[in-house]
Amino acid sequence: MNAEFDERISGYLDGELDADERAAFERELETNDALRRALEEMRGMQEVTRSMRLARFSDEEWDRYWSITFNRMERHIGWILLSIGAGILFAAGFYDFVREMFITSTEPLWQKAAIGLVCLGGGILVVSVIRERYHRWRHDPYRKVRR
Amino acid sequence: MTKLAAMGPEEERALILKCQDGDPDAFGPLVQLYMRRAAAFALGWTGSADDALDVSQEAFVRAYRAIARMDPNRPFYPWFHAILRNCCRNYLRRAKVRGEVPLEDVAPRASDLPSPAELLEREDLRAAVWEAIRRLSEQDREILILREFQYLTYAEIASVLDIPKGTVMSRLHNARCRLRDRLAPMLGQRRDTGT
Repeated sequence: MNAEFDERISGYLDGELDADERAAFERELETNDALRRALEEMRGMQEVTRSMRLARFSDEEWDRYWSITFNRMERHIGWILLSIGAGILFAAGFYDFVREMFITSTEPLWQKAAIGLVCLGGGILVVSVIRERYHRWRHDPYRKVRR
Repeated sequence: MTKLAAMGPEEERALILKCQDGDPDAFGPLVQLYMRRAAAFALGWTGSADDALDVSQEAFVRAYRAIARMDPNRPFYPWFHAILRNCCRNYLRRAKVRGEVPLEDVAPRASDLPSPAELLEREDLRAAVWEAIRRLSEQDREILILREFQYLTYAEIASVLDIPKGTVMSRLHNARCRLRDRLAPMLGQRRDTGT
């Protein structure tokens, strides 16, 4: 079959060909059995898809839509501000701690080293637990099931 | 909520500029204007009503975050559609497929109400059509949803997908051919039984 006319089947069925293209397509249809068969097959499928539609949402869902979206936008801004503030506080606290502990403190070296190891170990444990929880959450098949 | 009439490009541009100035309330009319289209597209992509609302709302949130970088002289929806498509893709990557069929019959006339047997057959058909659509490539599924279930014209599809109108015709035709091939057994059966 002529590929040019083949591709126009959809345009013809959808009424998207201009007058000249439509006339040329209809002339071709008169003599081209394969094109006629392809057109009928496509028309049959279109009748099936046009007999159904995507499910509709209720009016209540539309009424809530913007307020939910707005709340999510607002919450997102809240999270950004919270994260920035917490990041600054954490960095400042960490800097103070390191300065106190390892620079200005007169504690013996073994004590400083022990505290450093406790902090490092604790940090590794926290990161590891968070990472494991996150991984489990990502792969939980029921996490989208509403309780 | 009041239903909004179609918005002119100038009104839309004014709202985008207000959003870019940091006014979140100006985003409301844009959401209300496009939420149905966005949720319907997401429904065609995710197959679940709850997820469609969730994914489309997430897309609006991301759009608001990124609106400062948008060219206000361009229409909102094609720009937003790219964000929505990404959100739908992310959803598919992380979500498990649910058994929902998001298609329903176009309401029959009261005079020709179908019998229970016909209703069952229609249900099977809807499930088969949805399964066939779901198994298509993203590109095929996207253009089929826009045309078959959101009834966009080729010019509108070209604008949303940012492709020439001629490409819409060929891409749509190829997608329909693949859908037809997947539905061939069922369509042949229907032809044979004359339903």
